[in-house]
Amino acid sequence: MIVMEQYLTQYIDPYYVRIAVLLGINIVLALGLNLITGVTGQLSMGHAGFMSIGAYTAAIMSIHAGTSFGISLLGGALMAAAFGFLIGVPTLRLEGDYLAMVTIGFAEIVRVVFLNLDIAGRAIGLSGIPSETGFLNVWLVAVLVIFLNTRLLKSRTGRALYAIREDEIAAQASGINTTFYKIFAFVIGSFLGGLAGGFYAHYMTYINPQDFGFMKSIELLNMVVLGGMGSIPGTILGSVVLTLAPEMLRMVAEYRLLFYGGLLVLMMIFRPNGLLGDVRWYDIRKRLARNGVKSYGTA
Amino acid sequence: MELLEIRNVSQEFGGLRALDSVNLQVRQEEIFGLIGPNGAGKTTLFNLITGIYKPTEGQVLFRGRNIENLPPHQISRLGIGRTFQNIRLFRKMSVLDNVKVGMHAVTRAGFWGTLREWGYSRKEEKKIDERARELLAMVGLYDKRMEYAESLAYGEQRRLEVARALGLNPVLLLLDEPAAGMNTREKEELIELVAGIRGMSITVLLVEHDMNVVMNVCERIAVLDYGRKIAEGDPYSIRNDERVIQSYLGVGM
Repeated sequence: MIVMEQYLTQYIDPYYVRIAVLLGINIVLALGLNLITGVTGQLSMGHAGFMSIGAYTAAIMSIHAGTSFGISLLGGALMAAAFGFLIGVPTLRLEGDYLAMVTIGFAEIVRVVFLNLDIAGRAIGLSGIPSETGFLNVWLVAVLVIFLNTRLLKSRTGRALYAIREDEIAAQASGINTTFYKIFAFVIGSFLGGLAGGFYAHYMTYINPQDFGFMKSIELLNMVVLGGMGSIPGTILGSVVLTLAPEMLRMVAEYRLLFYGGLLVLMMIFRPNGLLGDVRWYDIRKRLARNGVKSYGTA
Repeated sequence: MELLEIRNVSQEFGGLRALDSVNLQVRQEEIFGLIGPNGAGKTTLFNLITGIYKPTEGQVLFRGRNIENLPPHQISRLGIGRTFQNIRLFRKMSVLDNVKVGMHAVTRAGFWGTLREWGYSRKEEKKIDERARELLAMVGLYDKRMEYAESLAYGEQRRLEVARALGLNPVLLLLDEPAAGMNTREKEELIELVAGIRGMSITVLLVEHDMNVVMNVCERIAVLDYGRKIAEGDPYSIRNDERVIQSYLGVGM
């Protein structure tokens, strides 16, 4: 794997490899948030908080305990999941805007704690994290996460999560323990957030509380909303667009936030369900068939 | 034998007494009608039985067991299915998936199982799929199984709610105004459907305003008015009950 990694960096412009690595990390992050907000419908605006818990935990483990990369990643992810559970239990009674407020608050608290924690390097940040993340290991995990996520959402569990988003009372009347499944979504979502955070820390080799601020949470939320709430292809598309956009908009960096805001407004007007939010293969096939285009012999 | 017993149940919302010491017994395998003017407390009673509200006073017994303090999802697991007056479908899910969600209570594949998707979960998923298709065929929505639930016509949405409720293999099915907004032909189909459900030895508790439907399918009827039960009996005696005519049916019926 190391050989392949070297091969990659030798023959492909490191700039592109870097974007690809960040894209892989963003996909894992966004898919985690998609599970919470897109699929289960619990508006979380503090996903960067889980990411930072994963990043700091994994980095501290690697630096101070000298654990191997895999163990550090797992430790970061589990720590984030534990906080996902802790924040999930009391906030379940809240809905919509209120839950959003609590999650924002949570992420801010996490940021301030790391800003004042000695072992986390305070405001200076944490440097000297071993450089372990590369294109291959990130994408191996990203593909695995995409695969398992797809599985999950097509299963009994996935249907229960969507049902909670669509109508909580009807979901309960169908025998779904909505409390359990909401916590479940929070735990899995924050686990993925923590996992991605670990990758991020071991890629940058230096992390700082400012990396995981409110804007990062909003950026992640934008990926899910832009692509389509609850849709895996949509979330991936959203991650791609919003990972590449800042690179392309580099020359107008100061206006980036303007672009994000404008994008969201346009989305709300023209595609409120996101780019791929309510598009299914079934509908595409049907439309093709209607227009007289032969498709897969089913027309 | 009583399948469901409502014992002295009262429900207050602030100062409003929506239900006032209501007693009701629903027997095994009968179709029981619940009628009364708007605001009489019919839907409140449904919400009490299904655990959405906890009664201020009184008890709800299902098969002799107190259920008034159980959360909704546990009550549905005992075999109580329901539909909603103001249609609550999973709008952005396919018709087929709506019914599959309805089968949640009677299936058990968990997180790890569904990630692996072999062995038990796979078999179960196949069973869910077959059963959901059967139920859709029964309510006449099989051809629309891939559509989003929100794209169905009104009458179809009501039938889909019934199919979803049947998914949990109910012993008792609560139908809240299933004929609301239906045309004559749809109502006839509904009467047939309810008869079919009865043939599955499912007890039905029906709230309905359409007297034609109620008188046609119900064996016994209770009448609520201002949170109180004012009459109970077979369709014939209800139709001729002085108080019922006064408060609800109206003269000339």
